[in-house]
Amino acid sequence: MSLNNPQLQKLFGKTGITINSNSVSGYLVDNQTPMAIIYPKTIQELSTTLKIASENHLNVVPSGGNSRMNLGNQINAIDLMISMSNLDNILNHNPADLTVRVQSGITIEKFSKLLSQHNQFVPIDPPLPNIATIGGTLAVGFTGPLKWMGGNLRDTVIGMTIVESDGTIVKTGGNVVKNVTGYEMSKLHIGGLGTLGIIAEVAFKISPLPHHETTILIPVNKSNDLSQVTHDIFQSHITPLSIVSMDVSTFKSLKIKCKLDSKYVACIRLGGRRNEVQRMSTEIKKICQYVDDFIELDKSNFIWNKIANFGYPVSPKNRMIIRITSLPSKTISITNQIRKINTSFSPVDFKIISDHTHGNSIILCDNLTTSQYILELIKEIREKVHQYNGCVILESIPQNIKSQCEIWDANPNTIQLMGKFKKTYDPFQTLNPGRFAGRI
Amino acid sequence: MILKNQQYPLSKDEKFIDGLYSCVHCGFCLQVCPTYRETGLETESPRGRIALMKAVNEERITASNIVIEHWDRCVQCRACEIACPSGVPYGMLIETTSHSIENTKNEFSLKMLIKSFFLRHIIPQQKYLKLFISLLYLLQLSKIPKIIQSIKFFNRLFPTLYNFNQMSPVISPPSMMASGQEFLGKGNRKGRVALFTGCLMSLCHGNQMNALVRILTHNGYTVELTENQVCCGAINSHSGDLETSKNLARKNIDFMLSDSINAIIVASAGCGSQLKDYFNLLESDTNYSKKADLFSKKVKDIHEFLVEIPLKLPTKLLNYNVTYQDSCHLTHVQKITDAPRKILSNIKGLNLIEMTESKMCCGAGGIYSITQPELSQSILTTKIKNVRATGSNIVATANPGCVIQLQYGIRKHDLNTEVKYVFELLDQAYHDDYI
Amino acid sequence: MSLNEIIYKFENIVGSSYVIHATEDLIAYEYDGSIDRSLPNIVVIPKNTKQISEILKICYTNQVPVIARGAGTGLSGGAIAQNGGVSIGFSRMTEIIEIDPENHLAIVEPGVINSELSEKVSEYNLYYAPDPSSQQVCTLGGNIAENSGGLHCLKYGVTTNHIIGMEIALSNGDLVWVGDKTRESPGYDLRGIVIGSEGTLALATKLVVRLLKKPETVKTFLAAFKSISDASEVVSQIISSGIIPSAIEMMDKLAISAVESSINPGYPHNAEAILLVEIDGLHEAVIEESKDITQIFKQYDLLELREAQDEKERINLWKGRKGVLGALGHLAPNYYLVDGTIPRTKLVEVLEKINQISKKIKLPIANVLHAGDGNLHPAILFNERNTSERDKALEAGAEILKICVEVGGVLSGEHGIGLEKQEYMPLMFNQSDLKSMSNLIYAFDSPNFNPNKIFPTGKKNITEINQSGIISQSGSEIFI
Repeated sequence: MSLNNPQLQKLFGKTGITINSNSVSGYLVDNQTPMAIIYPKTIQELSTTLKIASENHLNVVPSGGNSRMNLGNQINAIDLMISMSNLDNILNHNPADLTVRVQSGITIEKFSKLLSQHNQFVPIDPPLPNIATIGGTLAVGFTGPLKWMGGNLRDTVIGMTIVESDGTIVKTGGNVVKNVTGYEMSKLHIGGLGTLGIIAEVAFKISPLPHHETTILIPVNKSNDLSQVTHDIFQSHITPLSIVSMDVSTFKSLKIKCKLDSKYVACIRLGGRRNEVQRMSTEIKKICQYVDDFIELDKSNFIWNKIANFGYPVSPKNRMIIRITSLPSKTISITNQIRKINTSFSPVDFKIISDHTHGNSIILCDNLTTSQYILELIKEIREKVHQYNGCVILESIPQNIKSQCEIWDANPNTIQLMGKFKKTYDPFQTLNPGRFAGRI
Repeated sequence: MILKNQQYPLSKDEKFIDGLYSCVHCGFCLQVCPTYRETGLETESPRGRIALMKAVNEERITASNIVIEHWDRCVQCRACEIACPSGVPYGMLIETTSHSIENTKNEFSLKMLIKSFFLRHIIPQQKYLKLFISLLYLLQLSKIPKIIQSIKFFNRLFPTLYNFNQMSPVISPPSMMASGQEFLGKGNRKGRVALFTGCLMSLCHGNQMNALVRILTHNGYTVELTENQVCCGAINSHSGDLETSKNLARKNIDFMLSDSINAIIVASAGCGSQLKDYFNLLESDTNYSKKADLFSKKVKDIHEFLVEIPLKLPTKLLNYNVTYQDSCHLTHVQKITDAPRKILSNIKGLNLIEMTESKMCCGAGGIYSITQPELSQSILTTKIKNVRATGSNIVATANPGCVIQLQYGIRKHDLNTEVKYVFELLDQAYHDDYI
Repeated sequence: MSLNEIIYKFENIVGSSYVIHATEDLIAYEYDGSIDRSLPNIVVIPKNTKQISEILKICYTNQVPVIARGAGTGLSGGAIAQNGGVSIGFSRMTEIIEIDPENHLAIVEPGVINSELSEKVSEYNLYYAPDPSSQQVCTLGGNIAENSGGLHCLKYGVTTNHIIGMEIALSNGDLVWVGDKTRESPGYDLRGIVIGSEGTLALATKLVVRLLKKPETVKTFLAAFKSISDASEVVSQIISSGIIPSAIEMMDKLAISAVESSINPGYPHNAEAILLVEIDGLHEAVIEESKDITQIFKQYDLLELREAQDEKERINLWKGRKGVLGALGHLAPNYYLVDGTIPRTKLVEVLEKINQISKKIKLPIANVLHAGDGNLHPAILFNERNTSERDKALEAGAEILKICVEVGGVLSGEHGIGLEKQEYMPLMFNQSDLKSMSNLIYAFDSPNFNPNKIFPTGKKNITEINQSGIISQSGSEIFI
């Protein structure tokens, strides 16, 4: 359905909701421009907006900080964009209870700042935390390397308020850490890319910040050594916050001021009591006896911010970000295989960061040329990853090939079941039509 | 199936009813129950059996053959009593139930034959039992059993006979007959004990019984083999024949209870449990209740006794890998698990390797292996698997039923492992210490 | 299809020994760990996924209720066939299919017993974290249905945090994987939806579980207080000081006296409340944290502070806590055990209100709680044969749950809703919330899966539900 501006004004006229149709051109989604942007100031306004949209079969794109708007299959149509940026209040922070409830439009940075005042945090480290919002990050469903010890996004959410596609406001979960009252509806929306409803409020369980943090960089020259180091640390009885690795060109591209002469580097993030961190650091050095030039950094947040920002902000023309998930034990084999593709398809500029606790790798390909070539590259990567039973998400790909490839690797059986959810919760395809896995 | 007998309620006894309703069906007993573990059926679990007792007592259903069969399939290992957080007296419940239904089954079967004939007439009379065992021994000497085993088709032609042949105990003569003998304690005399010889153990495992005498006298105890003592009556109790077992109890009390002995020593865990329960069995017998109480208090399991005195350390080195099978009635009823291990650990060179689920029943259960051969054997197969996994040369245990059952399992599954009583190993280790 | 035809078909699938339909046999399947009772029409016990799939197809075609049953230890009536139907038992699906110590995971069948998994993986120095009190018997499949917690979920989370993928059987018998061995899988998190859905949406047939490395050091403290509010304050103090112990458990005076008169773990008799606090992790961390915790304790006027010196003493300290409800049998013939969660900081306030309720109804209430995560288990002691006491106990239970919700808490922390609390759901959720939840049943097309549970029926009023639902007899430790 498409409307013109006066028709839209008329629909919303009596509601008092402000429609912004002037500067929409900056808000392209898959090369399409919404007719208007609505900035609801209350949940009620959000609900009314969706009610009107669904009744009139308008297509809606929910938006947070737009940092990862490129994720998803080619959208079928857009009429309205709903920006959550005005719904960014902290509703209830109870430091002693280790719980917090916020509106979903709050940025990660603002959220983290509030918590860190109380020496607390939630292990959420998406790219661009200054603009990324809680709602958007949850809708995308995945974040950076902090998730190992802190738990996946889905493990930190204890309650939610959702506005469904027809405007119904729905509450799920609660504000307590242990709860089995009714179905856990929030799970549908974490990683649901706003296709079943819009996340309006979120309650989290929060963790105390580690008293002390250190990062150890372990330079190695052989891929086998890298594999050994990351494996041994993962298997040992110490518990790092994160274990990631990359080759030196990737490391250099992060512009971390730190001289490295080796071919690869493993970065180990340690957190805890001072003695505990010291002990872990000693143990790591014991594990990596064959390495001699460790770099130990006490103030190391900047490294991890850069790792989290890897590849961002996206430039959808000639850059591609691919996210791979596999078993932790397979990450190095997979990345080695992918680097081999590099040689037969020159010139591809591959940069890869692997997370060895969770089994993720982020691949960044720059300087891409023809779409035929990109599609072949994607196909090759998928083949290699599937050999190791991993799966691929095309986090950000050039717009011109979107219509020709599927973003997620989901099996048809599961997609069929998921389609039923879309039908149940968004029968008129109001929210992000066609963007989700299997073009749901 | 035709329900021949409709008998309810099972019992109006208040203790029984209180016991039934103390079960809140939490299910904590399931995983320790050997028959539930083998079948995965709630009807073959303590909780299921209690539910059926309740249902019959509440007159919702009759005690049909289906129901009775579920009760009969209980090995009575009593592991569930230990697992139960509510303290449900399962042993009492199942014994009362068995007693109440004992005469309700009209069908003729080997099971019934064994129950009525063997239990009532053979076991209580030591001389008949001795005759029976002697015949069995002669049969074993004759090598007929080996020939039978080697005939492949015999199994199919006469499965019951074949099984019985396989399962029959290895008899180790000479049998021990208690006829008032007395063996003086060596060295510093510490006291005087009566050795309970029981029925089966003294006949089948006479050699081992003599080892007991050696061990006790070596530790300074004078041992008397009290004349006229009879079977403890456990098997009768378990299958519901309480009258016979009470009679046996009275006899044992009459002949064995005496001020001159410090303890009544028993080496069979099943008998020990029964002897320790006489006070309960004869509670309402005004003539015997006090004496029964005194008697039960004097009863000591051999392992319990040896660890308490404490035993003299043996000197001989025994380089064995040994695994220990906790006999049900020692573990779950008498709650003795450390003592046998302590004895084993006192033997130099002996390496104790714990098996998975050593406290799980082996499927012997008195005459259970004969009345419920299928379940008994599948329980045994699991047990043998766990024994095999330890790689031990010896499996030690504390009850004749377990010894016989494990020997059978080892023969059947071709394991290169010996079965021994814990005290047999101690006796071996004392070899150089005996004067 | 008639009942007999269905029985016949089932027998062809699993063999006649595993299709139970005689009334005498069904009686052993009419209960779970709750007080509700109802006979299923058939119990079928499949051995593998293929058999489950075939059974479900038949049930779907005939729209027969399907009730999944693990070990039947649930406390909210989840495994009760209150409308009859087919109960599917998982007691034979007990295989541990794969242990992958490299990646800290295992693939198991749903009938595997919770503690057995930990035992089997302990040789790799790994364990499965959620430890409900029934862990010696309960199945992982049942844990998934209820999203079970445990004593140590304060630090390590509940079932949903430890299951990363599942093969599920849908109502029509189709098998689908939701999640897999990797920790992120594409699409909606249907795994997270099915976990905790009490068998109403799908049946898990294979589970990929996450295993944790065993902690290097464990320390356990017993602190005895002169007032229950001091004890509650300490809980908040510890949590807000930035320490997450693996467990913080509280018992009040009544509970202590019950335990001391039967189990005798050596808790101080004169204490108004005790706390058991356990911390674990790397040696260095545990040492520092125990110093901090000791500091916090010392700000209060304690009757006693004891640290377990060895494993034996540690086990002994926990023995009292674990046996407490069994021990309540020494104080009264029955108890009604309430399960609700509140924000931790409301402990003082809510416990005081419970105390007032106890005075008002003149019935003793023993408090045993997973204080660390605010999960209350007040046990209202009464005598069932005294009907007025019984009614008062039931009313008090409802009142306590209302208070929980009023202070920002929830109806159930770990026992589930099932039959027990379905009529209370409107206390927390409005019509739209409930409708959105129940839409999942349409999305899964599973109206025949464990029907008429979780959601309020409106047919029974709260008191009736209480009477059929939530009274426990004394003498059991397991309802915690």
